[in-house]
Amino acid sequence: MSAKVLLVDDDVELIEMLRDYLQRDGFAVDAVHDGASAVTAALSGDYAIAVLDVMMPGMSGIEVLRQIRAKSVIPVLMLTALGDDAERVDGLELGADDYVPKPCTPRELAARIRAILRRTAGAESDVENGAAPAVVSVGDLVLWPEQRRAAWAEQPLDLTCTEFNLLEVLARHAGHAVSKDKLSEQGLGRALSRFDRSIDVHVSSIRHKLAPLADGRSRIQTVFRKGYQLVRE
Amino acid sequence: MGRLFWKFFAFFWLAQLTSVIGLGVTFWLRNEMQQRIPDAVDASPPAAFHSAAAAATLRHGGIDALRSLLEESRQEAGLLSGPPVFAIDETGSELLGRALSPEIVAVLDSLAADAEKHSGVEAVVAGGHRYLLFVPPHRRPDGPAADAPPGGPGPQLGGTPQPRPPRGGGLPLMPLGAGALVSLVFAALLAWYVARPIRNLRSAFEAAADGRLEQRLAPTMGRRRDELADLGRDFDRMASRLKSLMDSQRRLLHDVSHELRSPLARLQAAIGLVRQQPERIDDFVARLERESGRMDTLVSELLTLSRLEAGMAGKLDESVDLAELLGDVVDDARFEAAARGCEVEFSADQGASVRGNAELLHRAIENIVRNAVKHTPPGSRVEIDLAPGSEQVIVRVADAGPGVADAELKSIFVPFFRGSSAEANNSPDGHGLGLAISQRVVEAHQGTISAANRPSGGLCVTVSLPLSAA
Repeated sequence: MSAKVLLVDDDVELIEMLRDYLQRDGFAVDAVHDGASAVTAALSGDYAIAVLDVMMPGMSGIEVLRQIRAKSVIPVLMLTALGDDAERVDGLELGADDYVPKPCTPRELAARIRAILRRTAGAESDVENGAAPAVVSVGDLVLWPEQRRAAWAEQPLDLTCTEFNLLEVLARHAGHAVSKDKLSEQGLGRALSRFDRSIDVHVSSIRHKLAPLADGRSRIQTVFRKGYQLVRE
Repeated sequence: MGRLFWKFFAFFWLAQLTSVIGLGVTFWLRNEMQQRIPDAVDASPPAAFHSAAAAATLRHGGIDALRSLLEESRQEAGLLSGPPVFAIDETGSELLGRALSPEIVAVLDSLAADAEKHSGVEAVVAGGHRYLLFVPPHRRPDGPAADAPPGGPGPQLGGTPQPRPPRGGGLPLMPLGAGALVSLVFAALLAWYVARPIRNLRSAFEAAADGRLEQRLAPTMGRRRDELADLGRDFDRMASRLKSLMDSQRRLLHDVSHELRSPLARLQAAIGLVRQQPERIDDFVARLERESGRMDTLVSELLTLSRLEAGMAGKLDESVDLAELLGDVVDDARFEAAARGCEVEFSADQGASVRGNAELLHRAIENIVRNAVKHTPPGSRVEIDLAPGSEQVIVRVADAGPGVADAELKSIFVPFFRGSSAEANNSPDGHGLGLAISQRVVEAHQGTISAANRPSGGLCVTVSLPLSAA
């Protein structure tokens, strides 16, 4: 497997070293150093995942993400400053699939990339193994995991890769509460760390994309101290 | 209303009340005195006529003539009879030795002071004495003195007059009460006028103590112009200065953490590579060394900057020859420029001596020159010139690089400023501290630094320093 990774950071030397590491780890890697060319490259469709630094001069990583998300659901991993929560939540709300605090070890970065790529490709192998049904449907919601397609009342839903994964986990357990730990492991492909609000931000994005229940409540209910639940009508 | 208001209010009111009461009582006493004079003097036309006649007698006939006139009028009734005229000299004794009633004694001084003002009173100077001539009212219980039949019971000269009905009813309570009320209102207004800005000032101080420095006092002062308004304006100035200092400190901290993170990220990446590819350890260790060197530079530049900002520039009294200093800097820069295929042009015809710290000035100029070398494209040249004037020496460093957006010409001296043009910022060796340090050093030497885009393209940084008096 030689997935193509797009690295975006203005720090040329760092990117060279990360490219060196990731190539040795079995990825094909391209690097760009500014926002404008990052948007072009990410939208070219050549890449399986984009790794995006938030702090860039000129066009910031957040702006790059906004422009990518306007047209594409390519998985995006953000490199954010450690401890800068606002930046992180902004990124996740705009549809980043996950984030890695910078500075990070290249090993952690590779592991995160692999986790996201596995989720993207994961469903297909599940279906091949016959472990999961080809179609998951809960009321008006229909998910086709192998095509990574979702529809609501016959209208296609535009979900990012991570949102799809989380919704799929919730749909498979519709009517039951799913803990955040489980959502993180199955949806994000990593264990939930303390004070990590990624799941909440992603779930909130999904809520905006699903129509609410007849009584105005959200279809995805927060279950106190347990996690989230997709309401079965 | 705070305690200050009540204190001011109480003091002002007390002061006004005291003056109102004091003035009131004084006037009342004076008035009372004036009103008692008619009690002692008969001001009726016949009495006045007799007083005038007596005065004329005294003026023209002398004291003896007056004495005999008075004696006659006292003993005889008839033509010469009439109301008895009293003649009192300045010692208070009557010419004929008649006894004076207590009323007359009481008002004698005020009568003597302004005799002309009272009708029926005459003042005549004769024989070295000043006599007051007047007719005391003589009343009897059974009727007015003028109608007294001759031969009747003689008038009780200077006798006790009948008590008259009270005129003012003692102290004038009404005006005093009104005065007190008005002074109360004015005291309250005055106290409010003083206490209100102080209360505003206090709430602004409290806000500042809580870290809210946005509160401004100028709007609450209105058009007031006094020491309190000045105090408010001073507070505003202090708060805005503090706020800008705090903001710049916060931004600096943010930038520092980001700048430290970049070399750290590279260190982490290099360590990861060492683990992954142990066979290339020499390459990566060299990288690690380079990164830790960069962190060291960054930290020492930060320290320099913070020392300069804190005003600890060190000794600034060495004599420094700028031409010599520029020569040293250019020699180093040429070496660096050669590696990039560009040139540094500098020629000095004469020396220029300034007073300051050689090490800091070297650093300031070096930062500017290296910045120019970094941005000038390969094959181009950096031009440096030194122009000593009469009081200032001007150093210009011009490159042929992309220049800076006009809006950012001032910002390039802000620590960690990164221009909007990305291409120039890819080098990991620049932290954006060099020009900031140059600016602080130049300012510590009472000089100025500015940047401008050249018409032919490229940036020109101009430093102007005062020449030393020698």
